[in-house]
Amino acid sequence: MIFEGGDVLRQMAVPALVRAGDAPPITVVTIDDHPDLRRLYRLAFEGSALQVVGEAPDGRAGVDVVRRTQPRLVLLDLSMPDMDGLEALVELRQVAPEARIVVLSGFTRHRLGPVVAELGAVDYIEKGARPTELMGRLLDAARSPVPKLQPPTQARLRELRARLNELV
Amino acid sequence: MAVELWMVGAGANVTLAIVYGAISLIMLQGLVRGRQWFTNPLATATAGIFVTCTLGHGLHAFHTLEPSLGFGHATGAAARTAMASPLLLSWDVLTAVVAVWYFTLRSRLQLIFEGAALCEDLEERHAKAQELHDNVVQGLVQAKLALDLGRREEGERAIAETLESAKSIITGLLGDARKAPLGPGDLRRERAA
Repeated sequence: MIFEGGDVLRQMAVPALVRAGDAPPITVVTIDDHPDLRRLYRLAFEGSALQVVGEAPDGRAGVDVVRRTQPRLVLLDLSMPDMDGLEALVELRQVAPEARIVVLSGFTRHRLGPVVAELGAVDYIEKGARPTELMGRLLDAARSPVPKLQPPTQARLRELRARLNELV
Repeated sequence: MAVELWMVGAGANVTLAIVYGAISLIMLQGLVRGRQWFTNPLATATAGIFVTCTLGHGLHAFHTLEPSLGFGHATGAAARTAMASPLLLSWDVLTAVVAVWYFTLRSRLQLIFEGAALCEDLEERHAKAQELHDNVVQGLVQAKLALDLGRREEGERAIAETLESAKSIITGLLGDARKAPLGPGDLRRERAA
């Protein structure tokens, strides 16, 4: 799903997160199989510098939306049907090389953080963070440089997938 | 009575039939005990190979003995001639030696069943972790996010739904772990929550 135009801005309690009047929004695509969470993220971002320009319920659809919208940020879940977050992460780096990909997952960071960092994610946020913390981290990610990484080899991808299966 | 070459071949085939038969029994017992007929195709196929080899070598030996039992003179003579062939004879003896050696390693056959059971456990654990993630973690994340955004009603609804999911999953896990109906004392904890 791609949103046409801007969403209704909602004033947030934290001034640093509120979008300045003439500043262009930071475009975001959310990829998560939980529709209520996607809706709540969208609601949380209203009024902030972040603007959701598209969302998708799985990795495959997410890659398609990101290819078309070329957002500044991608908020990516890991455990999803059809194509999971790890698979999507590799493809997202190819279809939108300038997008900063932030993984937002229900799994703990200490085990999966290094795996997604190796695949090119700029941050790993555990689900459950307060909206202000989430947005602060996303704004930091939007300002960070895009990781200049070589795409992983198929063998390395298989290793990482095996490791993910052991971890979760 | 002089020992003829076919007798050596028949002896090798009898040895093979006995050893392969014993290995077949060990494998079949493991499959039955672990109820792994369908879940462990490697063990089922291996048992199948040993069973068919048992029958094959048993039949070879039987054919050579037919004339001594008073029937099958033509087939028996042919079987004895074939079995006395130096190449076939050497091969049968060598196979019998390898089979006996394999039989001495039979205690390690259990690994075929334990390995499969371990894989099954890991797959089940992975599926349960996914179920908990999808139904409990995601539900709590939704509830917390909704409450953080001041949407109290939605947050409370998400908590209630997650609680139902958690109860359902835990009840299922208790049942799966025991593989038998719960009885008095089964839910006693080591210490209070």
